[in-house]
Amino acid sequence: MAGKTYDVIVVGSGASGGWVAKELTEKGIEVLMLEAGPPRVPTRDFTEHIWPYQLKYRGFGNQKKLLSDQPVQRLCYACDDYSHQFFVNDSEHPYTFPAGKPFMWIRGRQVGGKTFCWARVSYRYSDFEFKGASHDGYGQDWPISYKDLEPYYDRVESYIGVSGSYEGLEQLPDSRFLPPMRLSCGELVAKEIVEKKFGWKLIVDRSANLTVPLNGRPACHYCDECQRGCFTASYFNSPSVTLPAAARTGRFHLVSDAVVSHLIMNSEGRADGVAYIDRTTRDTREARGKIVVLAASALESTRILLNSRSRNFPNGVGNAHGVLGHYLMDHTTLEDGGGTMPALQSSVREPVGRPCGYIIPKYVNTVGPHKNKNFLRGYYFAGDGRQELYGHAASTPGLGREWRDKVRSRIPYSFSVYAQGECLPRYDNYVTLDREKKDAWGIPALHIHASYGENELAMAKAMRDHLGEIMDALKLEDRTPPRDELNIFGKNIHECGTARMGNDPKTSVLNAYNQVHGVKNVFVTDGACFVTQGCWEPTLTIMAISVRAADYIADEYRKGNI
Amino acid sequence: MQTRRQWLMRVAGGAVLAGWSGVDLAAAEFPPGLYGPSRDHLGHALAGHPVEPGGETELVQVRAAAFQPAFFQPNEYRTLRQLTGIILGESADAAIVHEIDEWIDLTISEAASVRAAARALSPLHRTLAIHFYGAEQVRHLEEFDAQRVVREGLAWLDTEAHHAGGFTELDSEEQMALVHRISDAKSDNAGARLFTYLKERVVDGFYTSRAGLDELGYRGNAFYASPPGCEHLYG
Repeated sequence: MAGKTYDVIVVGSGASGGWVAKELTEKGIEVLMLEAGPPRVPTRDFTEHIWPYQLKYRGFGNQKKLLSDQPVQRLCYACDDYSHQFFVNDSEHPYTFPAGKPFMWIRGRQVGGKTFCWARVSYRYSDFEFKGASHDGYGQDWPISYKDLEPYYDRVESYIGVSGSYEGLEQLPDSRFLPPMRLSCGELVAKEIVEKKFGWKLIVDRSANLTVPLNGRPACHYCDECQRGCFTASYFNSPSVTLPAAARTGRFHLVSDAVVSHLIMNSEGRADGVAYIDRTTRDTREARGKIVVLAASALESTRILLNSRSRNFPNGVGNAHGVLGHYLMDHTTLEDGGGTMPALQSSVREPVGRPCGYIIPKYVNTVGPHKNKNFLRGYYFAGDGRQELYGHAASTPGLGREWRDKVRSRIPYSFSVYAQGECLPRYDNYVTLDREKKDAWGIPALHIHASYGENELAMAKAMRDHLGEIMDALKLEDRTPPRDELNIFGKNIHECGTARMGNDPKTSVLNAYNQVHGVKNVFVTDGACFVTQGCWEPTLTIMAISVRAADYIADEYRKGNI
Repeated sequence: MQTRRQWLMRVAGGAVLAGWSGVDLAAAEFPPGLYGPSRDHLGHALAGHPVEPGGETELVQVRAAAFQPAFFQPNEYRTLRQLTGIILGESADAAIVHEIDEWIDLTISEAASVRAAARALSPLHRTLAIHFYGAEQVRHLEEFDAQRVVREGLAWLDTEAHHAGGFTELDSEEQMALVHRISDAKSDNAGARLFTYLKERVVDGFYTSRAGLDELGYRGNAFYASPPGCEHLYG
C-alpha cells in the first residue's frame, strides 16, 4: 500500500466501520481499513462451549493478571476467564479523570472491535430522541428525524437480523423483526401483573441474534455465551457479517495493528490521510486517502480529532468553536433490584440459553398519561427471570449427600429488574487530551471529565420508587433493593457524543451527514455524532447512521464534490 | 453418570454429528480476522472445544507427574481432602475430591499475590473499584488473608484432635462430630472461619465440575433448535 492513495480510509472495524466499508465497497469504492488491534482467530480465541472445568481457574479468572493488566476492563461483566482476550490491556491504554468523577472506559481493540462482546440489544430511536428539544425545550434537536433514518434502519435490520415482537409503540418503533424469543416462566408471571397493575407492556427484548437462518448464517443455538465469540455467526458482529461482505467485493484492504494517532492535514485544510503506528513494532507510518472516515468508537475518534493539531487547526480538526469533546453521554442505570418468586421454586430444571432478557419500555414523559415533572426525559426497565444455578448452595445448611439433595431439589427462582435512563447532554461533560499521560504508542491519553447532573439524580429517585413498586407488585422475597447510587459513568459502555451533529457549526462538530463542518473530506460515523441518546442502546442507530453517511459519501464522491 | 457426549446428544435433540475438522470456517478467502459461519460447530463442541495454541485462554494442563500441592503441606492436604469429602459426602480419595482440591490449592497458593495486586492498584483504579464494588468488598480483597484462615483453621482442627494425634487420625465419626461443631456458622473460631471459607470454595469447585453440573441438571451451554422459554406454566 506504500504510495497508494485510496478512495476512502476507514479508521476502526467495529459496528460503524464495518457498515461504512460494506456500503462503500459495494458501490465500487476502494477502501483501506485501519484497525488498531490484532485479528481474532475463532479456533484460537473463541471459548463459547468451553466448560468451566476445562479452565485453569474454573471460570473465576486469573485474578492477579486481571488486577494487574486489566484493572478497568475487569469491571465489565464480560471481561472474565473466558473473554478477557477481547478487552484491552489497561496499562497500554491509560486515561485519566478527576478524583471525584470516576469514569469507566471499556474498550475492545481488534478486528471487530466491541462487536464481539456487545450485548446485542437493538432498538430504533424515535422522534422523542431526534426531536427531544422540540418536545421539552432542553438542548438541541438532531439535524435528522426518524423519517430520515427509517429506511436505513430497515436496511441494517434486514441484513444483520434483529429478533423481537411487533408492539406498535410510538416511543420505541418496531424494527423489521425476525421472530421473537420467548419469555421465561417468571417473566410471564410478571407480565400479567405489570400489565394489569401499571398498564405497561412487558416484552422479550429485541436482540441482534438470529432466531431463523439469515443470509447464509444459521440460527442461534442458544448456548447463551455470545460474548465468548460465536462460531456460527448467529449474532451480529462485524468480522462475520459486514466485513466479509466488503471483502467479497475485492475492493477492501484491511491493515490490523495500525494505531492511528492523527489526521494528516494539507495547506488547503483537507485531510491527505492519517498517521499511524504499528502496534507491535512501534514504527510510524502514513496512509493516504481522498476521504477519511473515523469510526474508532466515540471517544477514540474524538481523541484522533483532538490530536490532529496543526497551524490551521490549533485545537484539533473540527474544533474551531470549542465544541469537540463536549456533550459526552452514557446511560444512567439503577441496578441490582430483585428477589425470588417463591411460587416458582421447583425441583425441575428449566432450559437456559436465551441470549436476552425482558424489557418494560419507557412510559414516563412520553406518549400516554404517565408524566413526571421532576425531571426531563425518561427510563425503561429490564432484567430477567430465571432459576438459580447454584447461588443458593453455600447458604444452604447441611453436609454431604443430604445437603446436595437440598441444593438440587429446591431451586430458587430469581427475578431481577433495573432501570436505565437518559443522560442529558451537557457541555460540562467532556474529554480533552491529558497534558502529560500518553499511551503505549506515545499518543496523548484522554482526560475524561463526566458526572451526573440534577436531572439524572432526580430521575434516579423516580427509578428507585418505581422499582420498589414493581418489586412490591410481584411480591418478591429475599429482596435485593436497587443500589443507592447510579452506576459509574461509562459503565454501560454506551458512551456517545463529543463530536455531535448539528446544523450550526458554532454548536456542533458534524453536519447532518456526519461530515466535519468546514473539512469536507473527514467524517465521523460512530457514537461520537450523537446529539442525545434517549434511554435506548445506541448500536443499531450507530449502524443506521453509518449506512446513511456512506450513501452520502458515495454520492458526493461520484459527483466530485468531495 | 452420563458422558458429556451423551449429555450434549440429549440436549441437541439427536442432531447429526459431523466430525470436527477445525478448518471449516471459510476464512481462507478473507483477510485475517474475518470469518464465515462454521457448519461444523456441534462437532467442534463435542470434541471438547479444542483450542489452538497461541491464544490467551488458560486451560487446565494435563500433568505428567503426580500432583504436588503448591500451598498445602502433605498432612494439611490430607486434612483438606477429608474435609472436602465430608462436605460433599464423598470419599477423600474420590476423583472429584482430587479435582476440586487441586483447584483450591491453586486458589490459595495465589491468594497472597492476588492481595498484593489489589493493594497495588493505582489511586484512580482503586477509586473505580470502590465505586463499582463498594468500599467493603475492595477492603476485603485487600485484607482477607485466605492462607492465614486456612492455616489457622487446620491448626485449630489438629489441636481439637490432639488426643488422637491430629484431625486425620480421628475416626470418621469423630471427624464428622468435629466438623458439625464448626459448620453453618454455629461458632466463631478459627475452625468455623476455615469451614465457611472452604464450603464456598467446594461449592464453586463442585458445581463447576461435570459431575456437579449434571447433578444440578444444568441445561445451558447447549444446542437448542428454538429459543428456550417457559415450558409448563403457559405452554
